[in-house]
Amino acid sequence: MRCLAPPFPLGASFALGILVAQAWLAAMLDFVPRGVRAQGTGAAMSTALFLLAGYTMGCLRRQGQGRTPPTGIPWRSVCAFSAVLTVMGLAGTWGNFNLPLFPAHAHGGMARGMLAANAVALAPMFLTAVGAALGAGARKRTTVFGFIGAVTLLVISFGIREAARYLLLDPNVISLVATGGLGVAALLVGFVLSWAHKRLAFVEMAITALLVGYAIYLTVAMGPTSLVVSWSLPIEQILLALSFVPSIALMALLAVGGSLGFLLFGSGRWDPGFQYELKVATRYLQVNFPQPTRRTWVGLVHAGFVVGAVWTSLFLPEPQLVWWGTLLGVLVAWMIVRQTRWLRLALGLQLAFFGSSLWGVAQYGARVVPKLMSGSDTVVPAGAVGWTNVALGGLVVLLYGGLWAIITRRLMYRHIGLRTRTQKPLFVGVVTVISVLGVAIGVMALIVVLSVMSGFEADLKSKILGAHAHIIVEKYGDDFVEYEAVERTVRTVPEVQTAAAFVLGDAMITTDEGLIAGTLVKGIDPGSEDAVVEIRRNLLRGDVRYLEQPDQIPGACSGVFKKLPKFKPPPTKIDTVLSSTSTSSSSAQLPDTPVPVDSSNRCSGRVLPGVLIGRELANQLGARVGYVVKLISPVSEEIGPMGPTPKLRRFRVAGVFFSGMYEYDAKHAYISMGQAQKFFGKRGRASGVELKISDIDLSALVASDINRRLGGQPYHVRDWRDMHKELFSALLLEKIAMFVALAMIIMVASFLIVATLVIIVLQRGREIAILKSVGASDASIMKIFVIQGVIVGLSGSLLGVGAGVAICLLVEQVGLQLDNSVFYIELLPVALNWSEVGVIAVSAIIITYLATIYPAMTAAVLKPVEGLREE
Amino acid sequence: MNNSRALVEIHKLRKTYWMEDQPIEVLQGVDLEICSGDRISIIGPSGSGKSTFLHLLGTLDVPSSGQVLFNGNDVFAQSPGALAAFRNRSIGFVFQFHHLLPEFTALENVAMPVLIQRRSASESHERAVTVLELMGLHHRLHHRPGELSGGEQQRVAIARALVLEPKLLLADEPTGNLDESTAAGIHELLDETHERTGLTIVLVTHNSVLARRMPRRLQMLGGVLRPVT
Ligand SMILES: Nc1ncnc2c1ncn2[C@@H]1O[C@H](COP(=O)(O)OP(=O)(O)O)[C@@H](O)[C@H]1O
Ligand SMILES: [Mg+2]
Repeated sequence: MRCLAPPFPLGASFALGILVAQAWLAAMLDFVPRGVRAQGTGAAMSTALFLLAGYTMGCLRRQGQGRTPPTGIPWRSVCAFSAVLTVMGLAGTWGNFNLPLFPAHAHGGMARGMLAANAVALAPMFLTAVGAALGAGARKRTTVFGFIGAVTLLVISFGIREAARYLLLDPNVISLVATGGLGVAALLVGFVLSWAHKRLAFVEMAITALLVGYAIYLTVAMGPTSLVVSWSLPIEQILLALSFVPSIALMALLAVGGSLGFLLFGSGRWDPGFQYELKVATRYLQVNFPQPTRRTWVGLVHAGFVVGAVWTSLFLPEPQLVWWGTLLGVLVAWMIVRQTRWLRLALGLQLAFFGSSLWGVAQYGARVVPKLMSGSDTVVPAGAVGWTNVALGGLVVLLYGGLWAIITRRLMYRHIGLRTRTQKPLFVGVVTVISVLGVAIGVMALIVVLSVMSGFEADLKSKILGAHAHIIVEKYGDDFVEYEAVERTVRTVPEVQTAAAFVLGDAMITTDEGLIAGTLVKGIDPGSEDAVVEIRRNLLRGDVRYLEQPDQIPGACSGVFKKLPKFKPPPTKIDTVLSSTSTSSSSAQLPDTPVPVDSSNRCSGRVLPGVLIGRELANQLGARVGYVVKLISPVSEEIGPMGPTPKLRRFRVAGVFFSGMYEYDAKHAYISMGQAQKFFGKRGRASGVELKISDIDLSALVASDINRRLGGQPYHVRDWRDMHKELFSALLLEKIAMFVALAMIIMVASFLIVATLVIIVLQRGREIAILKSVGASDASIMKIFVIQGVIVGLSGSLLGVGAGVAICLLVEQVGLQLDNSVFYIELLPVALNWSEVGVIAVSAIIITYLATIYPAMTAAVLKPVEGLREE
Repeated sequence: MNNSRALVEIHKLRKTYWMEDQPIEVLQGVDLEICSGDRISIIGPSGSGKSTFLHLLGTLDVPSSGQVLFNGNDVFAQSPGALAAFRNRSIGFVFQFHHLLPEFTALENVAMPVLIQRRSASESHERAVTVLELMGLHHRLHHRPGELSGGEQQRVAIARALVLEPKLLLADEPTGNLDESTAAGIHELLDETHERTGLTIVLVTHNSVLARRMPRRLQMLGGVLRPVT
C-alpha cells in the first residue's frame, strides 16, 4: 500500500496531535451545555483542525522539496492522517469504546461532535487534502496576509454593524445592513488582496474566508440565538456541512472582488481596457456548425420562404407584405450567389422588412390572443387557427432572422476576403449552446416558479387583508370600556379608513342534528358602516341588517324549531330558503334570492338573534338562512354546582358569507356586538378595535403612530404582519428553499461553462503562449476567458429573463384554470415582481462569472514555454 | 564586434528541469554580452538548450539561477506584469513553426502587439499595414494563416515581431522548415531590416551556410556558449 509508505509517520503524528487538540478543546469548553449545538460546534472545530493540519503538511512539503516547484497535495500523509483519525473516530462513536482522552463523549456534547467528524472518513480526507492544496500553493507571507484579510474583514463588518446599530432602530434593517456590509467588505478585501499581490491571491482569500466563516459559524452556533437549535437539525454531519456555508459564501464574494482586482490591476497598473480581449474572445466562442455549401443555404431559404409565404398569406391580415418579403428574399439570395455590388442596399431593405414583419406579427398576435382569451368563438372559427397563425408568424420571423444572420455572415466573409474556414471541432459550439440554454432554463424556471409563489402569496394576502383587520388595537386586562373613545382617536390618523370595535370569543356551533364545529365568534356593531362594509361585500345570502332586526330573518316568526331533514351532502348553492310551517309547502320552491322582508310580518313572542356564518361552516352544518343553530361558550360567568357551566344560546342564521379563504369561511361567525357582550360575559366591554388603512404597506408606521396617540400602555397595537407572522414567514422560507433548489440548475449550467472554457483553454494553449510572447499580461489573458464566460452567462440570463417574463405575462393574460376544490383559487395566480427578477438575473450572472474564474485563471498562469513547445 | 555599449549582459545563466525528481541541467552557466546592433547566430546540436536560452533571454521562462541585465537592469527582478510589458516593447520573437493565431488575418495578427499596448484600432491598423508592406505582403493583408504559404507565414511572423520596433529580435530556427530559396529570402529580409534600423538580432539556426552570414557566431555545447572557431 503506497499510502503507508515513508510519510506515514508524518500523517499519523498529525492525527494524534489533532486528537490531543480535540481532547484539550473539549475539556476547555466543557461548560457549553451538551446537545445538538455543542455537537455542531465540536464538529466544526474538528473540520477547522483538519484544514489546519492539511495546510501545515502542505507548507512542510513545499519547504522540504528544495528548488523544485510545489507539486501539490502530499497524498500519502493525507491518507495516513485520515486513516488514523477515522479508526479512532469509529472506535469512539460506534464502538461505544470509552477513549481515555474523551471520557465524556458518550453523553453528547462537543467531544461527540468531534469524534463524529473524525469518523466520517471522507471529511478528514477531503479537508486535509483541501488544506494541503492551499498549503502547497502558499507563498512566503500568505498566511500572514490571510490573517490580515480576515481581521480587516471582521473589523470592517463589525464597524458597519455598530454604525448601523447606532444610526438605525429597526433590528431587521440592522441585520440586513450588517449582512450587506459583510458582503461588501468581502468584495473589497478580495479586491485589495489581489491588487496588493498583483495576482489572484487565491490562497490568501481562502484563508480569510475560512477564518471569518468559522468565526461566524461558531459565534452563531454557540450564541444564544442558535441557528442550529431553531432549525432543530438532527445530526452532526449536516452541521458539519452547514459549517462551511459562511465560508463558501464569503469565498464566492472574495473571489469576485479578487478576480476584479486582478483583472484591473494584475498587469501592474490600472488597466480597464478589454478591446482586443473581446475580439479574441468572440472569435474563440464562434459556434462552428459544419458548413453547408452555399447552394444548400439558398435552397433552404427559398423553400422556407415559399412555405412561409403560402401559409401566412392564408392567415395573416396583410398577405401582400409576405409576398413582397418573398420577392426580396429571392432577390437577396440571388445577389448572394452573384455577389453583386447592390448587396448592401438589398441588405438594408431586408432589415427594414424584417422589422416591419415583426411588427405586423406582433400586431396580429395582439388582435388574436385577446379573442382567444375571451373565448368568443364567433369571431375566430376555432382557437387552434389563431394559435397556428401566431406560430406561423413566429416561423416567418425566424426565417427572416435566420436569413439575416446568414447574410451578415456572408457579408463579413466577403469583406474580409475569406474563402475557406479552418474547421474547429463541433464540440465546443454545442457545449456553448447547451450551457447558454442551461443558464436560460434555470433563470426562466426561477422566475416562473417564484412569480407563481408570489402570486399565491399576494392572493393569500389580499384574502387575509380583505377578511381581517389591517391593524388591531387591544388593551391589556379585561376592561376595554372606552372603546368608542379609542375609535374616535384612531380615526384622527389620516391613513385610517375604518375603525370598528369588536368582541371576540371562541365557541362551539351546533345544530339540533348534533353536527358540531368550533368557531371564532365575533361581535360587531351592525349599525356601524365601518364594521359591516367588508362582510356585506362577501355576503352570499341573507342580510347584515338581520343582525339588528332578527325578526325579519325569513322564518323568524315560526316559533317552532323545525326539525331538519336528515343530513345530506349539502348542495354547493344554498338555493332554498327554509319554509316556515305557517306557510304552505309551495314556499319551498322559492327562488334562491333572499326572501323579501315582509315588514308587516310582526312577530309576537321571543325572536332569536341572528348569526352570520361562512359558506364552509354552513356546508358543514347543513345550515341555511333561517335555520337555527346553537352557540356554546366554554367560558361563562354562570357557576353551576360543578364549577362554571358552559353557556348555550340559540341563534338563527341570518346570512352566509364567502370570502374565498377556506380557513375564514369555515371558522368564523358574526353576531351583533350586544349579543356577543352578553354571550361572552363582557357587558359594556370590547375585545379590541380593528382598523383598515389606505395603504397596507404603511401598516407598521400607522400602527406606531396610533400607539403614540393612544399613549402606549395599556393599549397594544398590532399590524397584519404581526398578526400573521407565522404564515408569511413560512411562505418566505418556502420561497427561499425554492430559490436555492432552482439556483442549482444555474449551478449545473455554470459547470457546463467551466467545462466549455476548460476545453477552450486546453485547445488554445499554443495561442495563449503566442499572445504572452508578444506581451499580453496574465490579467489580459484572464480577461479573454472571463469575457467568454460572461458572454455565455449574460446571454443565458437575458434569454432566461425574456422567456420567464414572457411565460409569466402569458399566464397572467390567458389564465390557467386550477382545480377549484383543491386550491380554492380559480386561476393560477402570477405576480411578476421586478425586484425578484433583478435578483435572479444578478445572481445568475454572479454564479456564471464565478464559473469563469477557474478556467480563466488556468489560462492566465499557463507558462508560455509549455504552449510553445507542444507541436 | 562593434563598439556600442552592451544591450544585454548575461551572467552565469543556469536552467535545470526536474523530471521525476531527476535534474536535467540544460544551461550550466552561460555568460554573454550582446551589444546594440549585434547580429549573432547560435548553432548547436538538437537538445543542447538553444531554445531554452532564447526563451530565457525573452523572459518567457525564468532561470534557475544567474542574471540577465537589459540596459543594466535585472529583468527577472521585475513583476510578471512588468515583464509582459517588457516583452511587448523590447523583444520580438520569431519561432520555427510560425506561431500565428489561426483565426485572425495577417493584418490582425500583426496588429495584435499594438492592440495589447492599448493603442487605438486605427493606429494599430496603420502600423501593421506599414510593416506588412515592408515585408512585401501588401497583397496578403486579409488572408488567414491557413491561406498563406510557409514563407509568407514566416514573413507575417517577422512583421509581428517588428511592428513595435523592438530593440532585440530573437529568432528560433525561423527557416527550419522552409526550402533553401525561401529561407534565403527570409534571411535577406532580416539583413535588410538590420541595415535599415540597426536592429539587434539573435538567431538560432541549423543551417551553417546561413549562420555564416552573421558577423558573430556562437555555438551551444555542454550547456555553455562558445564562439565558433
Ligand atoms: N519543460 C521541460 N521539462 C523537462 N525538460 C525539458 C523541458 N523543456 C526542455 N527540456 C529539455 O531541455 C533540453 C534542451 O531543449 P531545447 O532548448 O529545446 O533544445 P534545442 O532548442 O537546442 O534543440 C532538451 O533535452 C529537452 O528535453
Ligand atoms: Mg529548439
